[in-house]
Amino acid sequence: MKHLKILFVTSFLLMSNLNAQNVSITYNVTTNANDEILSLSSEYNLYIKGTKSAYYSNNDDSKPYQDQSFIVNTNKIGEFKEVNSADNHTAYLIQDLFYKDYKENTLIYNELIGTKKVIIKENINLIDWTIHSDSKKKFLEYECIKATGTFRGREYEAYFTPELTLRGGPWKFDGLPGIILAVNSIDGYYNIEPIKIAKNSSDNSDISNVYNNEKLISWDTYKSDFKKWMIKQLKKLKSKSQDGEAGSVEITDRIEDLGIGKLSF
Amino acid sequence: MASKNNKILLIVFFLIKVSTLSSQTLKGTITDKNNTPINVANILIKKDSLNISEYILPSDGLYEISLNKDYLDKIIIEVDAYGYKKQQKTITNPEKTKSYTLNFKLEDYQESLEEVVITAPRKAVVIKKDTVTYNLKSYLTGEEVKVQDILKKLPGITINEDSGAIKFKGKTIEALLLGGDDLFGHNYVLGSKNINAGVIAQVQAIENYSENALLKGIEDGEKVAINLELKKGRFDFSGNIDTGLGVFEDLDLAHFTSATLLGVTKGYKSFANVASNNLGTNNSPFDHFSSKKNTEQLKEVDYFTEKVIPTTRFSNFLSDNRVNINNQLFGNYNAIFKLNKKIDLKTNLFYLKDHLKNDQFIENKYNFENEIFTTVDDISYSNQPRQFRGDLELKFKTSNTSLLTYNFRARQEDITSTSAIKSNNNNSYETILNSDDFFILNELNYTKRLSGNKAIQVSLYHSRNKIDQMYEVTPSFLSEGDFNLQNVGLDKNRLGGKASFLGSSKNGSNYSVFVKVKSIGHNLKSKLLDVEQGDINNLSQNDLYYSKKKIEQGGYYNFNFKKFRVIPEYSLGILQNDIETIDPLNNQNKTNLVLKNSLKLRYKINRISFLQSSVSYETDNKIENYLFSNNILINNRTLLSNTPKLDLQETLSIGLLYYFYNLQTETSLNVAVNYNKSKNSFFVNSFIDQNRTSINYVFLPESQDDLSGTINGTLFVPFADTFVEFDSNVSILNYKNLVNNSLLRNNESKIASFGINFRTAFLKAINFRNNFNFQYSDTASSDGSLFINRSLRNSFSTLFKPTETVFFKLTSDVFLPSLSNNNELYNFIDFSFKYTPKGKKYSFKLVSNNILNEVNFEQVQVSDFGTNIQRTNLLPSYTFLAFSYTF
Repeated sequence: MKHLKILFVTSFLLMSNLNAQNVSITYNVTTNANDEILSLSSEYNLYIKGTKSAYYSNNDDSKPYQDQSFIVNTNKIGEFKEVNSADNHTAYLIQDLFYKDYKENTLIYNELIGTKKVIIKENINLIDWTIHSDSKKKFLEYECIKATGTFRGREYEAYFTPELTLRGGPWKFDGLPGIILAVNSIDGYYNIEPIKIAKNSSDNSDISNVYNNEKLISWDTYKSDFKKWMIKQLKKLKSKSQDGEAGSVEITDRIEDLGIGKLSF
Repeated sequence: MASKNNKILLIVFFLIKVSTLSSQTLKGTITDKNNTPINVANILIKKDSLNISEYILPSDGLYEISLNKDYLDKIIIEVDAYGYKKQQKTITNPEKTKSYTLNFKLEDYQESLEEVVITAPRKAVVIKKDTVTYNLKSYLTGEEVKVQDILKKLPGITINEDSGAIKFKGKTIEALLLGGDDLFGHNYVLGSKNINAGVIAQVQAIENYSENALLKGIEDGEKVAINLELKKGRFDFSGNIDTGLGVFEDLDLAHFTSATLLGVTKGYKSFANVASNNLGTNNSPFDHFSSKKNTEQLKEVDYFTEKVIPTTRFSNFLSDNRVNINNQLFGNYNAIFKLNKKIDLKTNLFYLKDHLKNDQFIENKYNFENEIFTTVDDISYSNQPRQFRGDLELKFKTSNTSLLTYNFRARQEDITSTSAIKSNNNNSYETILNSDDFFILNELNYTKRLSGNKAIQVSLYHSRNKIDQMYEVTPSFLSEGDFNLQNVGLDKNRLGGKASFLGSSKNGSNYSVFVKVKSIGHNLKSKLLDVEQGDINNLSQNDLYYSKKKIEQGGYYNFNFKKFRVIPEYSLGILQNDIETIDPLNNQNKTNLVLKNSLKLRYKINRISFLQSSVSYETDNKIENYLFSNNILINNRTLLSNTPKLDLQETLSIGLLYYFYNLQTETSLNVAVNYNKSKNSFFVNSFIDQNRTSINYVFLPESQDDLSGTINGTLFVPFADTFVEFDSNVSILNYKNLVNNSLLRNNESKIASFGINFRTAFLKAINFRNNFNFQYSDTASSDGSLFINRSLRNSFSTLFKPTETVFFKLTSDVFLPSLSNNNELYNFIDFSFKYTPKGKKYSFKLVSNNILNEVNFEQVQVSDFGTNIQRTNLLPSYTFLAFSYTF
């Protein structure tokens, strides 16, 4: 009887964990390229439950195509979404999904090399933050503390709050004792702001690792594979160049520095 | 000795001690009440209750932290883990360098499950989904000179080397926009070939393009356009000057100059271009050399009438640059003025003046049933076209949902063509042809967008094309007289309108129904005179008026069904034809019911390929070129006439296409088969002898058909770092004609061509290009004769770039126009050297073309009654030095 009691109690506890708290934040992410024309603003969702979180793009604009045929993969968490409406009219909605497991300390996400999908596995705590306790700012009713850090070639300032959850953050930003509500790169290139914070919403699904059966590569492998792809593009560029032109391929519009400089011929 | 060692030891010990002086170490475990480690927890180190000083995020329930900051009074350690109550422990008066072990045992805690939602006011988010935006920095080298050089490199965009026509994913673009505005219309090549690459910030390829913004989403979404976004600035000027000077082989001066200017400001966008050269380059969109129609002319065929007496007699296998002996001056100005928020005014002005010279030797070998003979014409041409043209477009946004457009065009063209001919080695002629071509167009267009994705459009148009030609042949060709004089006057008036209703529905289908009315009046007068010592004999005369009135109703429906896309199209009309001539016995009139049906079916295999089949059937009267029944002299040996009839002409077309285009790997494959059959049309009835050719186009209720197959594709071969393009085509044409009183002859003409191009992409200083083409043609006639020709062409280039500033190119273009007959081989060798000082806006170029000085070129063509050999003189070898400056 004693054993049964323990079993009952622990299972109750487990179950209550299942109905436990979740936090869902919608962020507005803006990338400001050097040229005004190239600025892009889009929405992302961060969903945290238990010791896992999922950060994914919120591409609602598949709605106009909803009535048309050829919608492939409507699974909203994970996987690319292809929306083919008219025959020659293809919207290729890449759904970014960043899966974080705080227990395993891993961050798994999808990336592109050209148009080939690759899955990268990294450590969650990638940034060495410095907390500026005296600097505080309010975002959507939550008082946040400022922290600064450098990440792959850019300097960032982030605002986090321990009031909502233990951990969490948009994109690769994490490793602060609280949830990161806003991030801004000092050079103005990248900006993330919250537009909606929902706690304990009834949409309470568990987060599973959608990348379970995928081949995972490391960040270093990604960088070297990306460089190989760039060299291939360089060769194609050369084959199309006007007679006698010099040429180069360079990554100029990317948040992280991949450590690949200018490749030229 | 011992004490010394002790001292050293002491120092070392002291040093070690010093380094750990300031930091405390905290470590411990975090477990729940059952001593199970808690995996995810946050540990905050605070000096006071408010601010976080340091932190650590342990996993596996263990933590260890070396503190970086100084803590004088106390160290507060706060542990927080999900599902557990927060716990705090304080170390008062912490000792420096001490290591503290603090274990936390957390109590269960049920978090509040109350739903809380906070939303911020939303900002607008714009994502364009039918636009492919190219981030130029990822594709360009920085050495692109003109817009064309940028476009060539972007995936999915291809440019035709000769015509400059631009295609996106295999589809020809409708427009090349500049900052969203259509400045050039169909003559966009003027922009892509001349605008400097440096002013372009971004390139967008727009699918689902609509010229009329109000029809976006309603109109058939098959059109594509390319938009060039300019770099920002309040007022931008950009341009360049290119100039070159040199000599030809015969020491004549070789020159070229080109200046362009792009001006952009808030309410004004303009592009001007002036070019002059005598190196064979045609900088204008108008072809007076071989009379090929450009994109605009192909779309507007119905607007114009055609000259009866041709001003050129040339069809060319070589690229025009080698054969076109010219002296051209071309000027062009395009501008858009945004007068206010509602009105846009666009103007395009053109001026062309050219002097084309050509020496041709034409030998025709005729082989009829019982006749074999040869005709020879040795012709020295001089052609001087001159053209003025002005276009005006006014766009008035009468409201948010309606647009009024007015188009005006006026064009005046004069061509003076003279020639000296030696015919059959003994008759000499001199000819002068003066052609005067005037065209005017007025067009009004009104579009109103209704709610629910529908729109109505009404348009009215009027145009007039008046062509007067006067042709004089001295001495008289048709008699022993002094000279022949042929006058031809054409006057075509067009008046019409169209009203259409368009709509689209949610599932991506769109449709349209329309009513069209059109009235064409075609006036033709001609007189052929023979003048002998003051006596004028009227040899042949035409005076007719042709009217064509048509009222038509039709529509199309474009819809998706699972993976299919179905496009049925129909039109039904009543066509009234009338020919009135001086001789009432030759008058004809007829009213016909005409129809057009087509069905296109497309099966989408996947995102990048589809299969398409199309069937169409059409009846019409297309007789504008076959109206005059009495002879008109068109050159020194040919008389042309027709036997017109107003019966309906029928055409059936069937096509099958497989299309594959992978934008990412830039691989494409197109396989197409087409079959066309026509019934009731005009056939050639000719009488040919050594001195004279009489051609009469006669209407017969006979049929002709043709079958053709094409395979073309592109791919990048990685292990060889080479880009490969191939194109092959086979066509069989069955046609009929009558020659020299024969019975109706059945002829079959077969043409097969195969071409393959390579472009290497080695990342070294040296690279190669090779273009290869083989062509086979034969024509067989029902009387058993067969005429065959095979030709071969190979162009090989070596590109050498040893340093950043210096570049060499050597090309050898070998041509064998007829493999069987005489193994005549032409080898054109071109060399160029370019020097671009680093970081400077100018460059120098040394060019030497046709180094081996091939002076003339012979090409062979076969027909159903013989072989035609055409020998033309070429632009002689030339060398020049050029300077180019961009600002």
